[in-house]
Amino acid sequence: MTLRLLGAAVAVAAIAAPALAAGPLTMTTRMMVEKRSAAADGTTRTTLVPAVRVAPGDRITVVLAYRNTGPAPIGNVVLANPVPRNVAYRAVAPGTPAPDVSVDGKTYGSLADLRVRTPDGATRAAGADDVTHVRWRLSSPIAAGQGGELAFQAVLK
Amino acid sequence: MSLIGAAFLLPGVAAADTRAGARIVNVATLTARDGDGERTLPSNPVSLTVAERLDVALTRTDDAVLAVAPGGVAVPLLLVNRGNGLEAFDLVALPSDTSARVRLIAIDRDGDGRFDAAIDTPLADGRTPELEPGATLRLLVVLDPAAAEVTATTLTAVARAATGSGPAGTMFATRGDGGSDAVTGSTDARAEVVVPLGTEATAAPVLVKSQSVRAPDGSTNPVTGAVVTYRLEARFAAATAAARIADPIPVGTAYVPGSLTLDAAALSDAGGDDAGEGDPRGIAVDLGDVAAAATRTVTFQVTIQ
Repeated sequence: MTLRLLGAAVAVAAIAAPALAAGPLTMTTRMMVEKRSAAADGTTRTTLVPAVRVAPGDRITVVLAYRNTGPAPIGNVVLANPVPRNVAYRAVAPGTPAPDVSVDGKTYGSLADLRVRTPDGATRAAGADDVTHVRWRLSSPIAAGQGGELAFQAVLK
Repeated sequence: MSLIGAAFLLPGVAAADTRAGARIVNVATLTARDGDGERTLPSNPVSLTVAERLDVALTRTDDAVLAVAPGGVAVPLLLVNRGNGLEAFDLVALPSDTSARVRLIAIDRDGDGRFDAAIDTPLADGRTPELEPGATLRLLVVLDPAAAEVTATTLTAVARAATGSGPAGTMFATRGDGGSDAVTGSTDARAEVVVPLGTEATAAPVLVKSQSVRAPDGSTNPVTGAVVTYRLEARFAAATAAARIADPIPVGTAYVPGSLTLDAAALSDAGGDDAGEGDPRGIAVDLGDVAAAATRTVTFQVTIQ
């Protein structure tokens, strides 16, 4: 399913903007859930598995995987993910650099620096529930043939 | 990790849960800028279907001791669909012995706590209509005497999600709303309420004893050193003179000095200075004359030896 959809997305981009040669860059996203299982030594192992059955209150990890399939490095890359409806942002996933977040889709920054307008016209400090977009600016170009993964944690409302 | 969990679960409880069967779609974008300009590439859309969480609550709407008398008595109950999908619930009610019999379970349409055959609708096969998430349903369990003397002391009513029930996490594939999977939540999709019963003639006080255990490691395992808190709840349907609660300290346990309370107020272990006394053999509390429809609660603690 993922492969077929990815192929379709790339094809559409290629038709829409043939001059820009969107081909070398690919990206796929996955929604994963934590699965706990008992290991033979008695410990509990937590693994991420594709989200199939998710109930309100369950935690989800959204993974963005990108790759440069071309022969030259690509710089100034930005990966962005609007937080889906009915999902609340929680935190960056372990091992992923801190993203910029936004509470309006326009202004990005660290969550601690963002404010939200309240119905009475005042503002208050933004919380994780307010986050509408998550964004990473890659600090270095993606080398030819290289890629990576970024992820954030969320919860189903 | 658990602290983070607690912090974000609390607001989730207050907000409405996402409906079962809803689809959550995620699309990310990748933007690259070079000499030719900026290009943006959408990712594949990835989607999941929200499962139906099955949860239910069943409670009493009052605390009175109900007398099973000729003509029948209605026990009012409140059922709440605590899940996130449209769900029906199956109800079963059983008296503690055969001296009383359940005539029917009905929806209390006018909410007056009394059964009126012209207004209130009996449930077919004990199953409620489908309830919206968060919806409440007022129910009446109508009981009749089945013997000359009603000796049943309790009525136990149980509600189960019609889709299924079982330990939290039990899955019923594709049985949820919109073809989603259904999964039991923290209530196991089952709720039970025990209602004390009496008769007009006896209107005997009911003493309900419950216990909670706290072990040195913070668990509820009844191990040596664990503290057991006993709670004795005396419910008086009728006015009662010179009532007294006494309870021996169980073998293998030791009374915790100074742990005796009546209605949350501390009592001394010495006799004669207040209503209570406690020693290694047992505790006793003089309640004196108690008015009708009163509940008095005594607690004390022991440690497991």
